[in-house]
Amino acid sequence: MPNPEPPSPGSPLNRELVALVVEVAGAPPGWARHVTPDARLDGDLLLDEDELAELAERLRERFGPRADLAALRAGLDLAALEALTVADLQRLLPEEDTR
Amino acid sequence: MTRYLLVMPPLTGHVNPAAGIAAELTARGHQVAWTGTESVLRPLLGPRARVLGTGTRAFRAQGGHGLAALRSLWEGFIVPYARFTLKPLDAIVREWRPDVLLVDQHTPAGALVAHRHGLPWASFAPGAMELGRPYRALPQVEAWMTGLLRGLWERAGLPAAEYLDPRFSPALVVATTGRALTGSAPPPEQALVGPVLSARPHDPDFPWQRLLPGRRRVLVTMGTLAGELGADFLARSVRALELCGGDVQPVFAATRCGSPACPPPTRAGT
Repeated sequence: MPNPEPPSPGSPLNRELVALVVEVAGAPPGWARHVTPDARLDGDLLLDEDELAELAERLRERFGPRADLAALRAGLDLAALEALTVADLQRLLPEEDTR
Repeated sequence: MTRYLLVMPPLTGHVNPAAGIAAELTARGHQVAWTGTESVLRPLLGPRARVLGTGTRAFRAQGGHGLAALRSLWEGFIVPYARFTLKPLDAIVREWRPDVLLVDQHTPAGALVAHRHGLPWASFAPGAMELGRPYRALPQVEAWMTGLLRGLWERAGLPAAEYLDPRFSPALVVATTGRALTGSAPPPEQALVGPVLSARPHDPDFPWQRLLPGRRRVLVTMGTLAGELGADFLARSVRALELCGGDVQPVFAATRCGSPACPPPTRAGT
């Protein structure tokens, strides 16, 4: 099953979203440059299941219940999960937070 | 006296703990035979073990990271290995006539053959990973794995109505782990027995002379199939173990680390 919408590599990312991804990854300084809209959570950023679970929790805390990464992932098959990108994460955010 | 057939994949980390169980069964007067890839099993088990070979075929190392590695494990090893060994296993069971099978979770063909012949079988889990349903939050991934296993069941000609998950014997799952790693009380059919350590055949290629006296040693390994998958883990392990101080001597079991953080394999003390 494809992801609901194609990623939009050119759109800027929410800074707090990028900071959350960097934080749950426990990444060294400078790693944030890899967090681009078209970066895949699995194949590019190498986030594991523990990190994705923490990211899901943190997104709900910061951006509200509609930013539900766990529900999004639960509805995807293996190919769509592999293709999931940071742009897909950004689309979960409330509209006022996507800029 | 009972005749036990151990169905194991050609993976060192699966065979070694099972060897401890086999030794205990033998010491109690039972007969034990192994089945799998003899070229892998024989060096691990020694010349006296009864090994009933299923033939040899190369399987690629587990590739990628995360979900890609999961796909690689199932589509590149578990399913093709089960298909490849199904017929030889069936012939071995008919000829050797075991009373019980102990079937590794990565060799589902053993469970299919046991079911076909109406023989009791137990599952063998050399780690905690398959026990805790790690993908329970991703129902479509679990469904994909079930689909692959059902495909093997159908290919073996077994009735769909009798389907059982061949990774989990309803009678007994012997797992070399403990509650500290599984996190919850196991269901009654699961026996968490902890590590199974036993004497193993001497490995002349191991650089014994590099083991320094008076050190505490930590063995770091990602498993036989892991390939490049473990490079980042190994690099992080090097950095973490450096923090443990000079009295710790890590031993890394890997083809190569692939990271500048890892010392070269010729360096003494690592």
